[in-house]
Amino acid sequence: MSLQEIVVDGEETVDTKNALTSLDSPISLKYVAAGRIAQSVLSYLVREIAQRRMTNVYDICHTGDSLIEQETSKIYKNVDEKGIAGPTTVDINNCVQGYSPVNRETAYVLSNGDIVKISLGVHVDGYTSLVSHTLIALPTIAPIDQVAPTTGILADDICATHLATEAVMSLLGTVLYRYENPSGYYGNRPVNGERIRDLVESIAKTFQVKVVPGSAVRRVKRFLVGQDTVHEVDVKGYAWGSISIEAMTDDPDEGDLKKMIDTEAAAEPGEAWLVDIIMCPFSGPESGLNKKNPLQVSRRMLKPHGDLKPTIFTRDYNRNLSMKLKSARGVLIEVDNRKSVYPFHMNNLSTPGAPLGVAALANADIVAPTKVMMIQGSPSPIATRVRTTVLLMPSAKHVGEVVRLSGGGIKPSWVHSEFEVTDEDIMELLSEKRAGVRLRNIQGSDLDVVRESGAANVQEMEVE
Amino acid sequence: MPSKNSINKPKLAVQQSRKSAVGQKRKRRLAVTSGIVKADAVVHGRVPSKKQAKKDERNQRYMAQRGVSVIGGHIVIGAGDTEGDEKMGDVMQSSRTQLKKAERQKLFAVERQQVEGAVTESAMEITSTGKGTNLGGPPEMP
Repeated sequence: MSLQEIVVDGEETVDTKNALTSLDSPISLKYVAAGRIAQSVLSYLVREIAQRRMTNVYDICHTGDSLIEQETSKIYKNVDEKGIAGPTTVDINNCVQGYSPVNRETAYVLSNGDIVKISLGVHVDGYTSLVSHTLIALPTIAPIDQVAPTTGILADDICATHLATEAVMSLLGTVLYRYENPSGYYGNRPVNGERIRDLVESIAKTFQVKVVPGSAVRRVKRFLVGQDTVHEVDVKGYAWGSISIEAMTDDPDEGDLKKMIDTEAAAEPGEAWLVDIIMCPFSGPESGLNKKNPLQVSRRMLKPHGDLKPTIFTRDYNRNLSMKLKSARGVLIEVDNRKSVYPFHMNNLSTPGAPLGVAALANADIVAPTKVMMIQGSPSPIATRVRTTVLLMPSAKHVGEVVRLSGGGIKPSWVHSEFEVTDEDIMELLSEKRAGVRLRNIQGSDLDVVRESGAANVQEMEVE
Repeated sequence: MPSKNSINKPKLAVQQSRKSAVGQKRKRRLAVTSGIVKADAVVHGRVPSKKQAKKDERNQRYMAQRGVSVIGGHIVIGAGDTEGDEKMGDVMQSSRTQLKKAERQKLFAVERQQVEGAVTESAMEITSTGKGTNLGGPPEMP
């Protein structure tokens, strides 16, 4: 079935500027290129952490950003806007976003048992691939590092996050054969935000974990991937609150996102979706949960880190102001010309006096800082995160396939949870057949990495 | 009243009276004998006040604690100090820009019972009943 034949209620449902007609189309190729780079860089960083070659968070973040810049410069020479769509961040334990240190001396060094969440993003001409992966930093035990799977609440958390992501991808893929198989369970019901929410929360309930604000399953478009500084229209999907919007009202869990996202609009073939799931085993009081949804942590429990200042900023193009400070003017020119609507790291600016300039711009609300957000609670809830971008690729010959741009192929940490999914519908989505959905993972490629001479091959982790 | 911008009057001209060199020598001799100024201190014609002298004495005490002394206006590491370069770096570097190692590692510290109980290092502790969910697998050897 061709894309042009998909018409609902007499109106074309897919935006032609962001439509994905086939894997060979120019738009799809740019998505795939961005996904391949993101996958390559993420695989490299995960491998380096697992083999203890990198334990300093600054090294991880700096290497990730450098590799993204290096690899994107090699492709699409005629495209000016390409590169980092999300600076590499390494969020540890109960940190959920935004940690990317500015210098090596004050950066955190991974310790035994830390839960490490690596996040990064790549874009080519605005077509973006965002990815996050969670792994456990384990100690060095020769000759085999780990002889048994990790168990306990951490294992429950990792299982829930991973399975929720897989199930959502399969659910989104069912729209590809909806018109061929309308009588099936997954064929006769539209896949909208409400169904996605029910699916994710059902899995969270099974594993006795909670969904953290900031989680979202939503459609993304060219240059628009959910930045807080951009007011988007026609957004479909579901979001469990926003991390960046701090709790200012008595009912912060209502959120502005509910008004911005249409939870009843259905997913359609030819769209790109972002699946971003953050979960944590929250065992605090009931006041720490969302009043209207006890399976979600309240936004009141998210607070900025007291000692860490933001190092990632996003340009707010709704505001313009002439700055008196020379460095601020220089930073503003550089951001407008090179950074576009995506977040940027302070270290990636070449303007002299950039930190001072960025601080002045942040005070004037011209750039919005990405704060280092932590989940409060006692004991500290450890969050896990899985994020990936998928393409709902239609096909004229068969039912189409879900293309996972990045995150596939990286083995999750070895864990064993005492809970298991018993719902038959969800089990069908998680089975090998995936309820009839075809899934393609974009593989990464080898990177040209030059190691610094004299650096230790294996770095010992901090052991308390 | 003559204009301040008169071309005949050089700008920023400061009229200084030439002090008597004999008077300066006499003041310095008195300062040295009274102990306010060290004999080998830099000669600049100024006699420090009592407040400044107390401040200098206090700073001298602090520098002695760090093993550093000032001789002839230059910072000198104590004799026999083999780690002089490192201490010089400690003196010169501002402490506010360097987090201590212990403080740095507390940035993301969590109650360890959550993590310690979750990481098992012995296969004998696992009792497999066929239930539950397994994810991932043994890590690959480097």
